Amino acid sequence: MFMDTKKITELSKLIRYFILKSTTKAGSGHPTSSMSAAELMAVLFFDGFYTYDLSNPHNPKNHRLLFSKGHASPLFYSLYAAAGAVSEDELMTLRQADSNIEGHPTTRFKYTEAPTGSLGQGLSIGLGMALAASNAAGADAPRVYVLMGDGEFAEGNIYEALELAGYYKAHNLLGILDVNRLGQSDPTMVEWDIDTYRRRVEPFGWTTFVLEDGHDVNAIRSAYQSAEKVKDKPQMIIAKTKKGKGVSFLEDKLGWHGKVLDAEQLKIALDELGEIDKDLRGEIIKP
Amino acid sequence: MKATRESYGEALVQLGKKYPEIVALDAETKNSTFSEFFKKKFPHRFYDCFIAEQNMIGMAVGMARMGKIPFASTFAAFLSRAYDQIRMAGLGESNIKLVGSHAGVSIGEDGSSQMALEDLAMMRAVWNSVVLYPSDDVSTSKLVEEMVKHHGLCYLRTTRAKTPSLYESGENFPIGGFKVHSSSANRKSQTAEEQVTIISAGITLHEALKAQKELENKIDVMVIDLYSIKPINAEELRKAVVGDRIIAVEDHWFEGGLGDAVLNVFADHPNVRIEKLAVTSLPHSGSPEENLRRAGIDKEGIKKKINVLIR
Repeated sequence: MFMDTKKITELSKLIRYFILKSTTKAGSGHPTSSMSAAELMAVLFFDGFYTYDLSNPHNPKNHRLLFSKGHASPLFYSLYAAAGAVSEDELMTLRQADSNIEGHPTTRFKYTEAPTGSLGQGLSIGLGMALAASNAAGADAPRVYVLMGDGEFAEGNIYEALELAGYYKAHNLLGILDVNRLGQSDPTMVEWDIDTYRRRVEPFGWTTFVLEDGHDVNAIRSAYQSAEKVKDKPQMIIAKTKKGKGVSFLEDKLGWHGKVLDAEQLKIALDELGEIDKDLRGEIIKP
Repeated sequence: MKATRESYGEALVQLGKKYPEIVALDAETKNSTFSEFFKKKFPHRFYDCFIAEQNMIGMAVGMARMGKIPFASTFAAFLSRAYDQIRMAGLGESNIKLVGSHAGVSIGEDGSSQMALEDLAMMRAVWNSVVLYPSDDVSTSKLVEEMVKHHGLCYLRTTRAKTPSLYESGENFPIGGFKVHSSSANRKSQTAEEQVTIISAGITLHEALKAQKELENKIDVMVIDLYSIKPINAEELRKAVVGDRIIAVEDHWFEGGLGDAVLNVFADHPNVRIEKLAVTSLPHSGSPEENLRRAGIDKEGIKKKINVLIR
């Protein structure tokens, strides 16, 4: 663990810059759904939790990551850009015909484990990976992380996965629920009532970590630390976040799902983000 | 006599010894799909997924990504419940193997809710899928091994009822192939107008072979076992048929199954007449024989259609 809160904060800012710039360049995409999970993912990647050999995706000791909320692909790709594994030039090819970084993640991009974008499926895939890994490596099995949106928690498939993961005591599976309150056309059914999510998840045999502020780097770190210590149950971090976090005219605003900023709006947004160290890169620890 | 679902269970155990990457998953139907044989032999490589098919397919995709060769089985009808997950597995070119038992009206007494009548259509429409439909013990075990060797999404349709043995153990069943069962009638004595080719697979293949036998002194009927419904070696199939009349028979809805796969092969052959025999009325409980008869896809239905074509 690096425990460098300031650096994670700076990296989160850089990631937001990448998200906004790449989606404006693409002319479409889901920047606000990406921004809500920036800290959750920045801590995972760059604070030493997610261990992965970027030069060898087939290393059996690699941790695994699934973006079940596949529409947050700008965040997904920006993380690899912030890790130095994707150049800023490549990032700017988002959604273009010959690019490997598609609108929703596909296996054309080498760090995608499975295509996502049809919601509610990532947790099951993550469970399969976690069980296959623990079958081979037992207690030392690499961990599997699944980022989910609160909108997709309406899908029945999620509850099937919760149930089976609890049954199999998938100790190396960690769900990360990004409760940003807003869906595509309206708020979700329970909005920011994160305790309802906790009460839904725990009875299936999960340990949960509820974060009142899903942008608080120290709180996120401590949740990942605690989750790692759980050895007999799957875990879920349930984090209250703001969709469009970091830019005031996007933050927690309906009507911005799947919409990108035009050039003028981008300028205002980047001004608000403040000074960004574009050369800053985070380190993903190798297994 | 053995049900292909039972042959599947036995084959998976044999292959499990040879391929340590094989794992099996089942949605609480393991004593019907016979995946329980695998569970008994390899308890640590078997995952009970209970009655949650969507999750089972997702788990299989995850396991395949980790280098396993997952065989996920349930009643074929219930795989439709996970079609979106299967569709996505196709997009990811995932190496998952799906096995659906209890296909068609021939399951009999359990009634329409348990009959897969759209599975072939559904699976054919998945990107890069392989769709296989064996008819006996040997073809089943050979096709299960073909599924292991092939990298990509494969679907095997198995049958509830016991069916007689058709093939010797030395026969090969490559993906994309088919088997020809020629008539004993003297072909040379007959003109094209007196020849018919029946293309079928699975349970109705046996009905086609019965029809062929009963007509053997009168009409030259060739029967083709199209065990590989996707892909099809179209060029070879076009060469194999005799005459210019084809009857495609299947225990599946009229839309999207084996018959439509055959139509695609002959789409640019204006001189070939193709008749499809499939399920066109709402099926219900009854004996397997009764249900096949009612759907017009048993030997009598096939003979009737042959007579219409030959007349």
